[in-house]
Amino acid sequence: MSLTLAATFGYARLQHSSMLPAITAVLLPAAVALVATAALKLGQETFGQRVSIAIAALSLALGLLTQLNPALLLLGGGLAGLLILPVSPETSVAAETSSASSSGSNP
Amino acid sequence: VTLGELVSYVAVYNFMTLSNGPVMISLLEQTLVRKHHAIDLDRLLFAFTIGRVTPGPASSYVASIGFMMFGWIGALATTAAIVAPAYLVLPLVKGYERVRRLRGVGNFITGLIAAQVGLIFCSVVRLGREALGSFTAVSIFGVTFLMTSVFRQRAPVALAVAGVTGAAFRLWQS
Repeated sequence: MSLTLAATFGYARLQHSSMLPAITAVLLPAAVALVATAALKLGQETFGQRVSIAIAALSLALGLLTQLNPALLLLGGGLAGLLILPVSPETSVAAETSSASSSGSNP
Repeated sequence: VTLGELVSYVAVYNFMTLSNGPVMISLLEQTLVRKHHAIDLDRLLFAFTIGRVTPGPASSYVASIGFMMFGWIGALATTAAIVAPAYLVLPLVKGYERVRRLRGVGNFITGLIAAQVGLIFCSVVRLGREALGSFTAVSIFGVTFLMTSVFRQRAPVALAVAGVTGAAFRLWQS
């Protein structure tokens, strides 16, 4: 946490430096890649059933094509899971595993 | 956006996403960048990247966002918003032990996580449209993505390689 803040403090000090555009040019695409990797990893852990894939695809489409609040999309996803997903003993265990791994730590 | 609003956004999103950093970036981008224009996309993504490459919880980057918007008090307040729920729910753990085996709860969480995946991909598309405007940017994206997803390298290593790639492309282009 302190390293994160130290880097942020350094970034704030660099606001008017000529180095900032070069740093930003690398960091922004890298950030998008890190987000994409996180999505891929979470997807690999979650997509055991077709319904999960359908919920993710619908959430993606609605997020891109509408101005719906993302919080509502999350809630809708949860409710869809509750109503549509088959009742199997494995589901709760899978959900538990995914939720535990999704909120991990950095190295 | 006031400090109180920022803290409440962080607290609510942290709760809703089960403290999943990348999903939170999607929600924070939508709220702070697109809706309120409280912080620009460059700074939000800088905070996220620094949060990913430094040790600590995956959602620690919100402290960086808090610092950028409100200084040290913002960093402390957003950190508290992230950390406090983990302690506040301790008395509820016993109750959760009873509930977690219920199939409905498992299905709800599975659906929630599936929707999270969709939302993160949605963020990737939206952010990609803005951040990947040049061949160099696409190359850096590709290298970082390959390093982290295919070669399973840690974020700091991937970022270092991406930096070298970016520098090499700039030299080559000039």
